[in-house]
Amino acid sequence: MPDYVALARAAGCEAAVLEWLAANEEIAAGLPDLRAADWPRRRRAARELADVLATRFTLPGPAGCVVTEHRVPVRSGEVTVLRYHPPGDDRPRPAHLSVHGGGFIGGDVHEVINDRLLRRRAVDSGFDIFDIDYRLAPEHPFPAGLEDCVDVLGWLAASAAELGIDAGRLGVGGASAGGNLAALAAVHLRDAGGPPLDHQVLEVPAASLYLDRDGSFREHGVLADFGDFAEIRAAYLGADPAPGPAAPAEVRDLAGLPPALVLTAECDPLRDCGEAYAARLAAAGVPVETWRAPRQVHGSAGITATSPIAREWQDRVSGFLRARRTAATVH
Amino acid sequence: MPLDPSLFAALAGLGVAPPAEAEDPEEQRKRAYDYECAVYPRLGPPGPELPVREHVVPVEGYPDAPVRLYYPDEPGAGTGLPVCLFFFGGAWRQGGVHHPGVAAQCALRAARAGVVVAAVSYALAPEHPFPAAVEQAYAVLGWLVREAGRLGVDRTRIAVAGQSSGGNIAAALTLVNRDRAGYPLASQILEVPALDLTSGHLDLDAVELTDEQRAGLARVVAQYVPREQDRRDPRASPLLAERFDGLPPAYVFTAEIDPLRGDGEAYAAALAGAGVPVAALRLVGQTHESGVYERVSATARVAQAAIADALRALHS
Repeated sequence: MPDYVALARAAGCEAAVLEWLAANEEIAAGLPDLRAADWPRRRRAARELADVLATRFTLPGPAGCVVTEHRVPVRSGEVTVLRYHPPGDDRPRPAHLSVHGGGFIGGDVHEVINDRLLRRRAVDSGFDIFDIDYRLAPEHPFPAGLEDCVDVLGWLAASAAELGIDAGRLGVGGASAGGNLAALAAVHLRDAGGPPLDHQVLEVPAASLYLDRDGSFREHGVLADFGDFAEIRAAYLGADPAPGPAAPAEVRDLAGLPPALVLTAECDPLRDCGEAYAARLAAAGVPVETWRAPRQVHGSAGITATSPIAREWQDRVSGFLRARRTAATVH
Repeated sequence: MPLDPSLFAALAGLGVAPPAEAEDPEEQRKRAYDYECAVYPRLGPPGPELPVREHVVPVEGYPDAPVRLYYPDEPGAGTGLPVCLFFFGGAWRQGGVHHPGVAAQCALRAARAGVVVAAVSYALAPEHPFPAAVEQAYAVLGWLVREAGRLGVDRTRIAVAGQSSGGNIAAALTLVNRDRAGYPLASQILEVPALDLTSGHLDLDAVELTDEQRAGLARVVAQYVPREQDRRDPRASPLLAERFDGLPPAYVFTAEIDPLRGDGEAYAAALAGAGVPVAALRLVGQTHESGVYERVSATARVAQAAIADALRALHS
């Protein structure tokens, strides 16, 4: 096994990132189920690892945010959505659908890190944030998770009055695999011809499923904790891939997509595909803000307890959302 | 064995008969409360005065759930005590933390085990039928996990417990949690639980039921789960779940003179068969209610000591 910490140090990563990577390795060593063939077992182990890390490395969210759990009808049945409702009486609230990461095969809304980051984000931005527990591969390959995201966005728009949210100020965002799904959900809503989304926030997005030619992949491929990218791609697409773009990089026409914030990490194999997507959005006339976080790796934006750069990352997302509250809605 | 003689003597000396059932739900609740106020002080021990905190947990689609937390000591920042989520008994239609027996047991357990007891005032039938109480229980569990730091509890040391109908809700909660959020639960403590609302596991050898008692049981179930097909839902009848793996280690207490001993013991067997660690104890000579009558029954004292011990184990 490569010595990740030494590699990250050589790449110039922040000390807080090195400490987090070392803890990750140490805890993972005690969780043999991380490599179990059985997916539920593997996910339970991954959740335990993530929760222990988040408890140590992610600042607790602020008090006063009310969290409720909703069962939302989608075309395949029902998915769970957690709502983070920050204090205040203003209605209707701007709303944001958050799509967690986890390589399309893992992650869930009940992880400690989601609670901590989304509470902070909801309170700092004044948005009602909805976190979706979409279906995962390989049990549910592409486009199952994407359909869930599209359906929940439809539910949010249709239930806006009941939920006390502003259907005209509804956006989407996600990290890693969640960034992929968020970007594609925005494309689907544009193509459906309904009211456009207000914004998209793409954090270390898996904007492409084919990274081999990317400089960031060749340089930092070993530094991501998401394992073998080809294996993830195979699990996500399944034996008989469904038609349609499974990654934002495969979408040809980007005109008319909602204003975007695209955040990438310097030492992340996904950096180049995220930045390439941001550049294509801008070339298609979409307002785009980007930031490449220095000395960070994939996933380190969550270590707000120890990293000032991670805190800046979170502040940038909240600041972008805050600015959307008063931005012109026509784009 | 017949009824515990010391218990028999104490009950005979009460001079108060259990109230007749009332049609009106509020009147029924009042009668149950008055009866408990009259008898509990003579049968069970008082609880210590402990610091309590009241909260209200928002529940999507169902009434918000009041929760009262009993702390063994004044809560301080960063204490992180184990916590027991507690569901009182009362046939899904009566009872509450204002009842002297419920309040005393919550405080006793918190003090004896050095844990926080979080008593859930779930919504009652018939106004709030199934699955309101289970969905509230699930929402309260999520809230407890998410707010753990601020509440001074340890999110990795959570037990769920319940008596009778509360045991039904506690067991249902472990199933729902397994299939949804999957929060780690350290243990479940089920006291004389009702676990099959189709009556398929009642042990009629336990006690001779009169027709009126049978009809009473059926009315209670019909109020909580009006739709007959819903009674097969594992959230209503945990014994009818398809699988029992992945559930928390269990302590199951049944009473010899209680047809629900069939439910509790079948559930213990089902859990054990799925590889879940189980301790199952039948309280000989005891009735459905008497497991908490520590003043007059040595068996009740032993049972409550075992529950305190199970809660103390959350520390290790």
